[in-house]
Amino acid sequence: MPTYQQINEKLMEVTLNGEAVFAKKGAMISYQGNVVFRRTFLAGGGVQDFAMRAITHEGYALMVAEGTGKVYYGYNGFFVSIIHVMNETVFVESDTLLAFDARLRTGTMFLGNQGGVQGILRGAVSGQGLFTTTLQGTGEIAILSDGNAIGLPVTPQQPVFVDPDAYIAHKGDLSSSIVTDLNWKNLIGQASGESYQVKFTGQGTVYIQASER
Amino acid sequence: MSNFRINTDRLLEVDLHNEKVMAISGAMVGYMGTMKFEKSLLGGEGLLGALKRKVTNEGLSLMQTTGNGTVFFAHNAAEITVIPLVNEKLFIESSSLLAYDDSLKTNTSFAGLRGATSGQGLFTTTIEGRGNLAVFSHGNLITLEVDPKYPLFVDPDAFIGYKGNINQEFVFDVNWRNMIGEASGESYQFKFTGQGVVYIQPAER
Repeated sequence: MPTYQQINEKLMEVTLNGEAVFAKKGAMISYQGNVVFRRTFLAGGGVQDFAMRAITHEGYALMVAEGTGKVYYGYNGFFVSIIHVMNETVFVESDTLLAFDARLRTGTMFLGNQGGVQGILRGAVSGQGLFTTTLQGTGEIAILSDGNAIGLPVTPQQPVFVDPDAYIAHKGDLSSSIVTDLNWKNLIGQASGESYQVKFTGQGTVYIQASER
Repeated sequence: MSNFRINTDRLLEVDLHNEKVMAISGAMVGYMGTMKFEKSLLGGEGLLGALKRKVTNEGLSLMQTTGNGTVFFAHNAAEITVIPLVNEKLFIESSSLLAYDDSLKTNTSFAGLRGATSGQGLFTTTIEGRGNLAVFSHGNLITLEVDPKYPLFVDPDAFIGYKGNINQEFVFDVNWRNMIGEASGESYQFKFTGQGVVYIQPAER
């Protein structure tokens, strides 16, 4: 199993022992040892998944690193965070995905399947499209964020509200819905800039970044 | 008085217990509990204050957050610093203000001619009282002490704010080289004299 280690806020190191790690194309900064980089199309998702990606535009250009040694990843000076996944599903925007284990299964999820109309609406208002990438299983994922990413814990007693523009990923057993906060001030063009939020309920973690798209 | 905390360098965490906090519009990135966000039409300055802002272009687009719980604010991944005020008055560029306690009073004041050259306007925002405020900066905020014996010179493009009993002047360093177009790039500075602190950022606008 490859080990992920944070070198600094913006750089991480993956130690490979004959395993494979997928990463955003071009995100490798340096490596030591015997590592081969190849472009990958299926990214462990199978032909059907590849076809789905092509149609849904939830596409990403991935490369796979295989071999023994250390690989350093970073991307455009974005902040890197490592998420540990234990038999869970992580929902993440494909363009914020930096690297993930080959042990994880990828998929494309229609937001309507995850929250119905609310899910579709969420994709529409946040400009993230109607589809999102899912990663399932046990392993590690590295995500990119503009400013530090923080994980907010969600419990059944404590729902979390996030700005759709700052949302990057979530994991666990969560359902999302859109909350609007409209009042008479919106009608006269005096919106607070926070007129809708995504509400996450259930058990899990929501990741947000310190910047709004 | 609400509690301001820095969660990471770039994320501000505020605990509210039925209190009110003002922040620039759209800066909320997440919250827990029950919160209400409303555009603040007058920014707590009354009609006259709002009018003054309109006229002086020292605009601030603010929203007020009320409720119970924890709210997170961030802006363009800029570094955030909390400055507690204890019955003091802080002069600050309105473009660097992220959030402040409702117990603080804001106003606009004439900053002198220096605003015209630094592109920050002729007026500056003042904030006074007792409470917390959060500023954001491009790079970590730097606090420099000013002492009567040691005046401080600051590049207007890196200037963010100051507090204390300070006098602000504008100094030029123009010589014959400027005339032939060979300026050093540092032809004018702010000079601060008195007793207090000046805040600057390690980046020039």
